[in-house]
Amino acid sequence: MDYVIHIAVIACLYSVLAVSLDLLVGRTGLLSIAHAAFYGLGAYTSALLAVHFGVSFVVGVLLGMTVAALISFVVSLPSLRLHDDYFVIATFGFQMILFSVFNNWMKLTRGPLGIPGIPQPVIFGWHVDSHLEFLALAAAFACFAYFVVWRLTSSPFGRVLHAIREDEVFANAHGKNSLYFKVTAFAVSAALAAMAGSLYAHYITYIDPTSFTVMESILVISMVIIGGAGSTWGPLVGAIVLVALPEALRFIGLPSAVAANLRQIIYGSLLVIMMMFRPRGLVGKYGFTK
Amino acid sequence: MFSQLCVNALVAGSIYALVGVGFSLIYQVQGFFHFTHGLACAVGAYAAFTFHQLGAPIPVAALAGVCAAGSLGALLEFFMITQTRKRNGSALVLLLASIGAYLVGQNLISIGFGDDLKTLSSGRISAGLQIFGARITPNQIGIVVVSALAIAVMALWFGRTCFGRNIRALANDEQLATVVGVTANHVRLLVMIVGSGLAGLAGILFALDQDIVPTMGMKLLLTGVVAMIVGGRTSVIGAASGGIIIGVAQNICAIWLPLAWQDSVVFVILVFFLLLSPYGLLGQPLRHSTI
Repeated sequence: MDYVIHIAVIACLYSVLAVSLDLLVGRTGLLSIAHAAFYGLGAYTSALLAVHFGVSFVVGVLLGMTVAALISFVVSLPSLRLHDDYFVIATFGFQMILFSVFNNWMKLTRGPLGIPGIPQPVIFGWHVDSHLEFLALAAAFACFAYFVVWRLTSSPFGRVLHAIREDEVFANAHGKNSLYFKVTAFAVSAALAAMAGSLYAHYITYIDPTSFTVMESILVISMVIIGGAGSTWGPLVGAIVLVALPEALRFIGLPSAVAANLRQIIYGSLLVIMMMFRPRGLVGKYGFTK
Repeated sequence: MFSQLCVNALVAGSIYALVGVGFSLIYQVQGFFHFTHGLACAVGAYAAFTFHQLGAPIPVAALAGVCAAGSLGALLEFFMITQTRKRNGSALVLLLASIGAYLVGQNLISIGFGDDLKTLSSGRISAGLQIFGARITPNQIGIVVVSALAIAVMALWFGRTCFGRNIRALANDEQLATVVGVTANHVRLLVMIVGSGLAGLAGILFALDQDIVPTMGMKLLLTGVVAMIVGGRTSVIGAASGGIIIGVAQNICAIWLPLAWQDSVVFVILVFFLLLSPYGLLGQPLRHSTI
């Protein structure tokens, strides 16, 4: 039973990541390859604060989100002033550099050794220590992320994002400062990813850089795309399908080394097939076309 | 010390330059961020490694590696890019498909060869030649010479032949080029083969200098793309000099920073150019991608 609940918690975490990335990819039409970097930023911020200074979970999550949002400006301000391809390249570069920070800054992050002994969260006296309680917390986080993205996209702010996705020049011509909207959407998306990262760190109680590689970013992108970018349920469906699907491989009895690679091969081929035959995803409407 | 830095910068830079030149060729004609370019580097290196293991001498193995990378480009063009384009796939759709293809390829290499370090340079390690107080191994001389030759050939091919003219025409205005009789599909296929072959060559040269792992393509891709941005996207010489600039910057920073921070240097260069000179030293702005 614990196994099933664990899978459900992981699915909730990835739902947060997929929903927040969809704010960029599906709603605004910007592809970011740095989502795992912000996920890791949240995880490392709250883990280090908790381990070294005994900062409580709630404060850690909030600080992690703040750090991620602030650092997102480093990427978005130079690259979003230019065309979209620069944004892809800058996020890709940022993902690589942040991984090397996690991996190489031995004094702060202990590099590949990782950070063990991250305390389990205590929220206003509520000790979250059983799997079921974690599931409740993770589901709450997922609902929160979903709510934020839903509120944003159904507000006038979201309409501008939609307009930018469809025709940026048109949005500018109507007096909208598209740079401001894109940078804000990126910061919100980064903060939500960091939130998922903090929860991950406190759930697993151990983090190391291998959880925050560019492959992780690509996995989240696949979830958004396969589920259906820019739709209400698409990213959630994608996250659940891509978390559940490889679990089936576990029961075939492949050696674990091959299974990990096989999983990624499945993600990759699904991505290619989807893009070739159904770019709008399983349940989505937006096909990345103008 | 200084001359040693120059040698190291030249060796590293000439590899980045090759990746950058290949990427900029493909980017100009295809108009999307070709992520699988990184895979072509790894495929070249691993193919050369396999042939070398089977007993082929390095030059023959390298040729086979370049061919393998080139055929990867042709396969992608045939089975993925053309098919997606037929269904009106936008640049973002193609980029995502390309990321998917990278994921599949890298993991296939991982399963086939394992994740441990492999090396192409075999035989006993020689002390290297001494030039102006800098040590350079015969392998490294080979890297610089091969890379310089390949770039010179590319610059001539791109600037002086009718193939190159077709490529430039297609990059400039696809409709107009088609109207005057350039067969877009042929040019694209050719560019994919040549560009991926260059990436494969870069991977092989990298393998001669350092150890290879299945994820090697990612780093080479990033540096190659930044080299293209630094040099400006429409010029072979620009992308090549961008590669050298990155090599120099990385090695100068290595005086103060540990080697592990070399990726960060690339990113700082990227941000620097994005802020101050987004069109690079010799080039034009990136194509406005139509998402």
